[in-house]
Amino acid sequence: MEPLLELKDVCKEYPSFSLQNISFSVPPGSIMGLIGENGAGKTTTILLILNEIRRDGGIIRIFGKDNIREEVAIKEQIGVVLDENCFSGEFRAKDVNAILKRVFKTWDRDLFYRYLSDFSLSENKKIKDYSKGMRMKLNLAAALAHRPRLLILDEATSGLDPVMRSDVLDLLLDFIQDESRAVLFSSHITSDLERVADSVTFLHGGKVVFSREKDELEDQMGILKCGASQFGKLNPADFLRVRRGEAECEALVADRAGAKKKYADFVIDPAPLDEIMLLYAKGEKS
Amino acid sequence: MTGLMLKDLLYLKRTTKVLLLLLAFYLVLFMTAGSESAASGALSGIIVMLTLILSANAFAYDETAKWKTYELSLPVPRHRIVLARYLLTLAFSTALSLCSLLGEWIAYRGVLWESAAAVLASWSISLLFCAVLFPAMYKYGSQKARLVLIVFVMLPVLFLLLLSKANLPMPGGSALTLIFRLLPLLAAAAYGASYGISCRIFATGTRKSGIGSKT
Repeated sequence: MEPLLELKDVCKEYPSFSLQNISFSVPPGSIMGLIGENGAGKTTTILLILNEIRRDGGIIRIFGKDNIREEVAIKEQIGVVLDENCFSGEFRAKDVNAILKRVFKTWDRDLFYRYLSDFSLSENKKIKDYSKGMRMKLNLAAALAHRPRLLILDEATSGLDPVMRSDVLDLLLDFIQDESRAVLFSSHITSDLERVADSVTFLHGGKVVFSREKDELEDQMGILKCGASQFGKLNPADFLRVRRGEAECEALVADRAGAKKKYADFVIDPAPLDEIMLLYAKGEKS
Repeated sequence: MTGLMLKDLLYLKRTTKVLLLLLAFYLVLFMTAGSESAASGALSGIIVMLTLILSANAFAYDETAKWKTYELSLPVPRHRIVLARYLLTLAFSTALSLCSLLGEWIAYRGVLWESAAAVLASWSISLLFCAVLFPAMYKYGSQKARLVLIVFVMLPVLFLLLLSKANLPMPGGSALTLIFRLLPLLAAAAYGASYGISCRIFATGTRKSGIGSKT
């Protein structure tokens, strides 16, 4: 099945930062989590996908079309939620409807107002009087009311309380019930992604560390924990990253089952996403 | 594109009080002007001022709301985003000019030829100012761009000051009449050229660099 979103060797060079050979794809009916520490390149990647900044190299295809050549047609079918509200605080939800119905050909007023009702958002209240969670829900309603096929969220759940985050995540799961749709969801809150993502792309220092199915990651990657002196006796080639403390070492293994056989005397736990991120960010190559 | 124009119009709501106060001030000037030509002079000033307030505020509110990143994710080509602002400003300035003529017609049961010429001149000056202001807004942002406009406004004053200091002859009646007649054409040409420049700045400015500091 053709992916809804596909990046191949995408590059972007800045004087102090570069994205290098970013490749991943998002198939229909799935949620991809884009993770990485602050400054890893998540937002730049999203801006490149949206052609808000021009890539220096590589290919970006959305719905099988080049994202630059067919930019307008593609954007008719994309919903975007950014990490902060972009509508003036003086606007009301009904103003957002009035503006966006003139922007999107497929804008569905009734659907927008249904979302407002579902989210308990007043159409007459000024946006500046909404809570942060309410503003995020308004942005989601605005992103969904033209029935997009691809939803892109950039840190949309950061700053929300757990209840609000849970509501947003439920909405994403509901969105992909229609299997012709997909979600790209950038976040550094890995627990959110563990709950809803089908696959995960991990960016670190402007590069893709991995882009894999989440279940595969959970099944295969592991963390070996041992004393600092014990670690010196192990084969460094078996570990992707190691974090050395004064007394203890944590080492990331790509093949947990294989490592368990080889190092039967050691504790090797499944590797949660935040631990993987931490080991890549703070650890060193073994 | 009309959606973006509507957004800018909705921004006006934020300045309703200031605008009403300005209108009241000019209304008082209009009523107490004593003559039709003085009244039209008072009214023509408001065209320039309100047009500049509308356009400068639209840029500033966009910046405050961080609208640009969202706007660029919408299915509107970049040149149309720029065009929306130019068209709305043109429409706003034209509507204000027509309203001042209508006001004069209602108050004095007619419009003087001098009044119409003064309104046309104000309309031209407002577009000329916007022609300078908009590319500066797209290039430097709303804070620095206002300085550019102030410098632009001060240039003719400086020019005249230098002329008088150097004991050179000041532009006479015929020169002023020529400038006055050419002003609408000059403004229209500058406004058109300014649109082209803004399109280029907006396209290259957004594509070259990331918007916002996050990576």
